[in-house]
Amino acid sequence: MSGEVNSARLAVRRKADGALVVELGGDWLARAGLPGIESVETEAASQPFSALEFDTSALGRWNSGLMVFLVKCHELCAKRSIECRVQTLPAGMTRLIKLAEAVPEKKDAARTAAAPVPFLERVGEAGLVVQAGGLSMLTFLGQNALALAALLRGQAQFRWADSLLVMQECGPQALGIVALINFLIGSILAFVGATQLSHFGATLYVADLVSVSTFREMSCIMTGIIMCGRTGAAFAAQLGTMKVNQEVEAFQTFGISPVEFLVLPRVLALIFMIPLLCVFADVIAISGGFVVSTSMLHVNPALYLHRTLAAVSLSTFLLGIFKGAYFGVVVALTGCLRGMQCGSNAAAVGQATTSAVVTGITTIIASDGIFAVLCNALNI
Amino acid sequence: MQPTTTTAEPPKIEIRDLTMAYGSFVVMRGINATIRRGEVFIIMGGSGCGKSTLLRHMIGLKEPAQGEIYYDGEPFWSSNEEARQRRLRSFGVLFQSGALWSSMTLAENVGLPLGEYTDLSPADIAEIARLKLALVGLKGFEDYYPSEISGGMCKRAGLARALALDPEILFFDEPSAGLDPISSRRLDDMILELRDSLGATFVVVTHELQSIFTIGDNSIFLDADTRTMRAQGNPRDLLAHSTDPVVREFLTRGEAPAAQPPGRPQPA
Repeated sequence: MSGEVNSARLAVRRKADGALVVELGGDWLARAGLPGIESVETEAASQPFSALEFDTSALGRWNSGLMVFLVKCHELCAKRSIECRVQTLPAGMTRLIKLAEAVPEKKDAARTAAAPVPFLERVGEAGLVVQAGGLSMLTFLGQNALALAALLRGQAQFRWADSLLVMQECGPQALGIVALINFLIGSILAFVGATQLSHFGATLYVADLVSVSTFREMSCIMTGIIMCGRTGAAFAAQLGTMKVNQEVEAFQTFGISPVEFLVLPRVLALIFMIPLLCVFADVIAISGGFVVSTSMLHVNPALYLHRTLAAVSLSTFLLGIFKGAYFGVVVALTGCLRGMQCGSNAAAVGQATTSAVVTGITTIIASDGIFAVLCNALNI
Repeated sequence: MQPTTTTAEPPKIEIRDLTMAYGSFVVMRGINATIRRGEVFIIMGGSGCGKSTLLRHMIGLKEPAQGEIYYDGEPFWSSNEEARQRRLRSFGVLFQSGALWSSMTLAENVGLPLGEYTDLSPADIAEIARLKLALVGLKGFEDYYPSEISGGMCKRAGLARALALDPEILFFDEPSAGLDPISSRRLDDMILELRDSLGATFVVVTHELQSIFTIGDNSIFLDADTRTMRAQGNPRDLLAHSTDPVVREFLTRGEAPAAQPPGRPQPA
C-alpha cells in the first residue's frame, strides 16, 4: 500500500425522516487517530431517532479500523432496538458485520472478575499447595531410592553410556567456570582477610583463613551453586521439554521407567562429578589466595604453603568432599524433579527451570547451615 | 474382512463403565465398549471432548476415577504393577506429534525398546530397526535425528517405533493431524495393511471423517456436552441408521444427511 493517507473524517447529520446518517470520509485504516464512536453516541442521546444509516460516498481505503467502528454502531443500535441500515454500506462491509454477529457471544466464556478470596481461604490453599509439593517431592525421592536399589540389584533400565555423557557435560566442560569463580573467591578472601588481619600484625595467617574457609565451605558451596545454575537448570529444561513433547510418556508406554532411564544417570553423574570439581576448586582457590598474598601482600611463598598445609586437616578436606557429593544429589534431584513436574507448554519449561534453580540454591544453603551446626556439635 | 474368532475368546479390549476425571472435574462417565481382535476401533468426537484422555486411560498413563479396562479378559488397572508393565509391552503407541526421543537417532529410537526387552545383539537390533523404518518408507534415514526431518516423517518414524516390539494392539492419537491429504491417505492404507498382515488390533483417536469411514470397523462417539458416549458401532452403519442428531451432524459435517457414506465401498 502506498500513497498518502487522507485523514479519516466523521460527521453525523439527521435526515428528514428522523434517521441518523453517519458520514464517513477519508481513509479508515487501523493505524492511528481514527474518530471514536462518541460523536455518534452524543448525537444519538440528544434526540430520539428512527434508524441509523451510513453515507460512504467520500470513503477512501478502509480496513479493520472501520470495522471496529461499524460493529460498535451496530451494537449501539441493537442496545436501543433501533434499525441499523447496514444495507447502506458497501456489500463487503455488510458481509463482515454479519459474520461478526453470526455467532452470539458466549457469555459464560468471558472471564469474570472473581470475587475476592478471603484471607484465611488463601492461607489454607497455600498450605495445601505446600503440602502437595512436599508430598510429590517425597514421592520422587522414594522413586529414586527404589531406582537406585534396582540398579544395585542389576535390574534397572539404566545405561551407563547415558550417565557418562552427562558426566562429560557436567564435569570437564564445567572446569572453566568453576576455575574462574573459585580463583576469584580465593583471591577476594585473601585480600579482605589480610586487611583485617594486618591490624593485629597477623597477615601471615591469611593462608589459614583462605585454606580453611575454602576447604570447609566456599569451594563446595560455590561449586554447588554454579552447577545448580548450569546443570540443574539444564536438567529441568531437558526433562521439561521431553515432557512437553510427550517423550516421557513414550517411555512410560513402553514400560520404561523415566526415573530409572532419565533421572538416575543424571543423579549418579553429579554424585561422581561434583566431589571431583570440589577438589579442583580447592586447589584453584588456594592458588588464588597464594597469588594475591605473595604478589600484593608480600607474604613469603614458602611460608604461605607451609601454613596452608598445617591448617587443613584430612577431616576438613573430606567434609568438603562429602558436602560436594551431597550438593550433587540436591542439584540433580531438584533439576529432574522440576523437569518431571513440568506442564505442557513452553512457558512451563521456563517456570520449571526457574523453580529448579531456586529450589536447588535454597536447599544447598539451608542444608549447609545444618551441616555447620552438626559439625560444631560433633567437633569436626 | 474380520479374522474369524472363536466365540470362547474374550474380547481383545473391553471398557466397562469408565469414568474419567481430573481431580473432582468429571470429563466423561459411563463409557462402555467392546473391541474384538483385528478390529480398527475409532474414538471420535468434537475437539476437546476427551478422546485423547480416553486413550491415555487405555495406555496406562492415567488411572480411571471409576470403572476398569480389560485386555484379553484380564483387568488392567486393578492388577499389579508387574502385570501392567508386561501388558504395556504388547502395546504400540503413536503419539500426536510422534514424540520421538529427540536425543536419539531414528534407528536408536526404534532400537531402544528392542534393546530393553529382547536379548538380540546390537547388530540384529540395528537390522530390525532398518526394516521397521523401511516399512514406513524411511529407508536411509536411520542416522537422522528427529529435529532433522519433517513433521510427517517424524510421525512415520513414530509408527516404526510403535511397531518395534510387534505389538498386539496399536494406539494412534490423531494420526492424520498435520499431514497432507496424500500422506494421510497413505497412513490409512498402512493401518489397513498392518491390520490384515499382522492381525493387530487398532485404537485410533481421530475426527477426520474420511479416515473414519475408510478404516473404521467399530467406533464410539464421545460428546462433550452430555459428558458421555452417544453412540457405538461401525461408523458407516451409524451414518446410515443413527437417529441421534448430534452423531448425524458430526458424521455429515453438519450438512444434510448424506445418502451414501464417502470412502471405500464396503465389501458385501
